[in-house]
Amino acid sequence: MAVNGSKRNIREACKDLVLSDEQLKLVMQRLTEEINKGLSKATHDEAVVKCFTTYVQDLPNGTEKGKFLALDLGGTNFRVLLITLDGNNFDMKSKIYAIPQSLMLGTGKQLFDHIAQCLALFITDLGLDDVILPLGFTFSFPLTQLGLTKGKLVRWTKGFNCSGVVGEDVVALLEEAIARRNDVKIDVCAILNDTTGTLMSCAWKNRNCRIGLIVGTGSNACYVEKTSNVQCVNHESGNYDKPNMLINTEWGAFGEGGVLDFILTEYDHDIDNNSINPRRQIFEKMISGMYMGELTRLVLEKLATDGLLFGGKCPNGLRQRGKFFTKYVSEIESDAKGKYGNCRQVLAELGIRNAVDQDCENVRYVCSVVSRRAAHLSSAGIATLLNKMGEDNVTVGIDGSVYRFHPHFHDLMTEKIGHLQSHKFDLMLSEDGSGRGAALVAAVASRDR
Amino acid sequence: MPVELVPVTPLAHCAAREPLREPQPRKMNKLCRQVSIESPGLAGRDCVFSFDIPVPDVPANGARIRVVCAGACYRPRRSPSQTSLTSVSSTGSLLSQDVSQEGDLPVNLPHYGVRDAALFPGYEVAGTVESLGSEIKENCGYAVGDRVILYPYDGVPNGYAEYMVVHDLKYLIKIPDSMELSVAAMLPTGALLAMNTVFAAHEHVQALLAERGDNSVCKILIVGTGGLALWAMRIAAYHFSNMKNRVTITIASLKDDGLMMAKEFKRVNVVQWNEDLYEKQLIERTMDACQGLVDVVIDFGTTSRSLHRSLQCLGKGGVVFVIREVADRLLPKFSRRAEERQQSIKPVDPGSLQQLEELVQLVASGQIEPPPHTVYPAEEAFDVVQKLCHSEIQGRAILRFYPTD
Repeated sequence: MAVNGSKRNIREACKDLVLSDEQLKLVMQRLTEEINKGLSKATHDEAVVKCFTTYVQDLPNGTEKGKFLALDLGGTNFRVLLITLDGNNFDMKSKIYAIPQSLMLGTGKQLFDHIAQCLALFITDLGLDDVILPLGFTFSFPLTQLGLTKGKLVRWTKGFNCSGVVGEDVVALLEEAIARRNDVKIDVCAILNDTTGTLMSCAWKNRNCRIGLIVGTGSNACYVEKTSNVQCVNHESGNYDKPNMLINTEWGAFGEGGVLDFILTEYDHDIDNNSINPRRQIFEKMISGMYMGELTRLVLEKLATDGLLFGGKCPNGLRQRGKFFTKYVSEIESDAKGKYGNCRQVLAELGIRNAVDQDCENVRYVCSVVSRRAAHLSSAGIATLLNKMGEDNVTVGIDGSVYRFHPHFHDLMTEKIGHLQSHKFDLMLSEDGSGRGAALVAAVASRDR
Repeated sequence: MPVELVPVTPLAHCAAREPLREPQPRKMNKLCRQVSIESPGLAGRDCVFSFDIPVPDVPANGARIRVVCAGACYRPRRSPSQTSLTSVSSTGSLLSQDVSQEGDLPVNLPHYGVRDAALFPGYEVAGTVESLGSEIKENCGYAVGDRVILYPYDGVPNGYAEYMVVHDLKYLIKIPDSMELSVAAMLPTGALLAMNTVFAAHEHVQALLAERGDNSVCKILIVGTGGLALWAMRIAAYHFSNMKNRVTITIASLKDDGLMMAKEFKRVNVVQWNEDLYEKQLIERTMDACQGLVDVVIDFGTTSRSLHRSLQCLGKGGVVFVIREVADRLLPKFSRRAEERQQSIKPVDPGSLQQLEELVQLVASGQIEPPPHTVYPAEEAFDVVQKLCHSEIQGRAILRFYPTD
């Protein structure tokens, strides 16, 4: 009876994190309103889901050829890639470079000089110093795009806070850093975010791909919109008269106006209040890997303090902010039913020894509740986009560590999207979206030059 | 939000001492201070102790050393449950095996700094010869005032005291005038253990290169940027210098501070093992940095997570070298898995007295450059251990018992 009582109490304590389809459909309705606000010139400035114009109007069609560079900057590591395309054939060389914490919080010049140095090292190692290489720049931070090669940083996220970059054209900053070196020849053809790259990379393999989604450190989505619906276009940067335009929703900001308050929990408020950007990126904080582990920890800490876990003794490891990593959620949920090997390993790392099976089961339940909510909110977002596009047989290209590594995220999303809307769709892992996709954008842009 | 610490208050020195009486001077030893660092427990609590102990008598055939510098290492606690646990394989377990009821971690939670080998088990003393035993002959090779380090033989005391005795002079190694005692203090465990690890790896690398033939390359991954890994990196760079194009070294850095440091070596790759990344991401990034699976891993980490990662980066037939203390604890869990992949997990013991002598010469001559270190007063041992537990000290931490050499 104590065990059953404990289980019931755990479920009761977690009920605020379980979203009904009615709640999710209300989320969809409000997201639709926000997207329409973002697309409209009259309401764009007040919109929180900005729906930035990417100025990408073409998807790969298989005729792309040549060598193209990609620069993928979206976290504490960045990648440089060289992609060689020849019709349907594809070859890639890449290297990962770290960005030290000191540069994440230093000056923009220091950051871009470091990036330019790594680019030059990479190109020199490949013996391509004298070749003009088109480059696609994946910049996975909120950006006001003013042209295919012009984008101003709106704000830093993901722990970055370099000075002198907000409000600046990051392509110009990169070009200036490259010019200061005066060694390699790089032609920056496009700047894009990781969702655009994810869509492009998936579209190269699957021509039905029309939506790109990231659920990783952050969360964001892009989709193909009719150009006639895109009112915020900077025509000074070129003619954008083709029928379609990729829209970068920046949906992580959804909820900043309070429209998601009806589903926010005390844990969400705690996360937000203690984040680097309080009251910003509300939707992202409910979904993404940057916060999922901490959200789980907050729930576990409360349950332990309330006497529902670990015999009412909350271990020190569970009290430390930022020490319950998002990968722990995936590892714990990867345990087979009735097995707790990963769970016990994680708990041991937090200083919890000899956890009983019921505690492990309860920990797993908490993990599943948090990750399921993330999957369902992501599903609500995708369902919203599918409804807006109104097409059947759309493929959604998805990347990001949570989607890639969580054992159930794909299936949870597939099921829930089916519940929330009626168009036929497919979810597809987008291989190497942020790197290859950027090179493909450069390739497509070069195609038209 | 920092963890609340409950510091251990050192015992107050005895304020009132009996005056020395003429008939009893040989029985009344002066007191001196001893600092003991045990295996760090939760938040470093209850692992640093300070006592007043009697100044030890000089052994007839030995010497008494006035300790000047001591490396911040902990003394491993002898756990009564040294028996290995039977592991049961479980499908779907990312961490490969169930270990029911008992974790495979040390008795106490390993802190970040312990995982990183910023704080590791050992005993490191550098000081001066204060007295020689009554039976020691004048031609013994040592004199009062000589600057020495002590090879950590089985009989060393449990803590660092201002005075300590050694029962056999062979364990004393004289330090050249050109070497600071704070540098010398790093050698007896950290550098020596790293050297022995590199020696073991070196043998394996030579065999591998011979077997594979000309133009083949051997890849080494060193895990950690704590004191042990920093020494290993430098010692490896020295020992593999004659094979420079055939051996590549990659550092898996657990702190981004180590990144800049590791970049000192032009031939060293660096990959950051951020703990908040998924295991598969870390493996992917390591494979990218190493250009594929590696042949040798030197893993100074102390957890099964670290060893699991190392094994995943290791190719078929590869070897991972781990500290003896760690190997004894983790081998039961990993040996079958390693066997399936034809990988070896080899424990590395502290090196020999002869190796330590060689090491002194190599460092004194500048052929091997010591890692950065910071000297702290011994009174601050508790704070130092806290910082090491959280990997907040770059390089090594050295405790100083007297203001000058």
